[in-house]
Amino acid sequence: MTMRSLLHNRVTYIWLLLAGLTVLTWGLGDNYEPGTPTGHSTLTVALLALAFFKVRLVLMYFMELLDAPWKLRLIFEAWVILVFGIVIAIYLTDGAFLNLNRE
Amino acid sequence: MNVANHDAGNTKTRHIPGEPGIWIFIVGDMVMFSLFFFVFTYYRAQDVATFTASQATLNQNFGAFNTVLLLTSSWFVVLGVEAARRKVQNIAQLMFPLAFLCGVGFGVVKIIEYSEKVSKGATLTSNDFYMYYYILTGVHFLHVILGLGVLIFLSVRARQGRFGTQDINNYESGGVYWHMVDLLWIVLFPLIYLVK
Repeated sequence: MTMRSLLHNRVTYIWLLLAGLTVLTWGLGDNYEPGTPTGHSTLTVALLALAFFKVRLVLMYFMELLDAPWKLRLIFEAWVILVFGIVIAIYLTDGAFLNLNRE
Repeated sequence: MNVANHDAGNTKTRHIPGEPGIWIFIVGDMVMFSLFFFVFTYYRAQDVATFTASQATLNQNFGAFNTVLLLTSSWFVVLGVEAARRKVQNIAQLMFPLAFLCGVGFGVVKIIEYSEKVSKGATLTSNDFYMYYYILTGVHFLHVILGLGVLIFLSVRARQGRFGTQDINNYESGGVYWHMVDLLWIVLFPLIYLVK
């Protein structure tokens, strides 16, 4: 195996995509207008969606869950969807989603 | 014989990298961090003004640069594990030290960032934002330090040319742990530095 054949691998393209998306996040996230209590920032939701998409790429390709038994893969697919969903729900409802302030 | 062949085929196509125990640890850790994400987002919503003002003092360049460092480190680990599986020592013994160096780079940036904050008087007790900032990034940093130890271990093993079945298991276990450290930072960066 040569270095070239090793680099010519799908994970190299995944790494390039992940680095590119990070630079995109960096550019978009720099000094944008914050959301207000009544109008949350669409960009914030987009940046978080991008982050969880990147997390899934790491799980599936770097951690090889794409080639793992489906039960193991399912745990992490569920983690990505649930955690992203709950974070966004808390953000959009100003915390009311968690209902910690039971008065 | 047929059954054995069939099973062998299955393990090849549906492979769990590393030890089963490392996956239990990873699931536990990811559940713990998801609670951190929820708590941070919740308390931010209770005091948006403080969180936004304090967040503005953070240097996003540090956060983004560190994301790229960890991603690159992870990529080196993937290449190192693949080289180890194919028993190509010269590449394996190069990739793990490269991954380690990127991890050290992350640590150096983090220490510069912390000392810059502390010198400006922003500490754990300044306000809720900084408290969560230090706790979340601090707990993550402890994972990075543990990971650096793992990468030293894997670098030494690769240098010794150890590529037996149990060794491959070790490279894979250390690898998936390090990727988890990477993916947690992928969420922490936008959550702490960019959410508005």
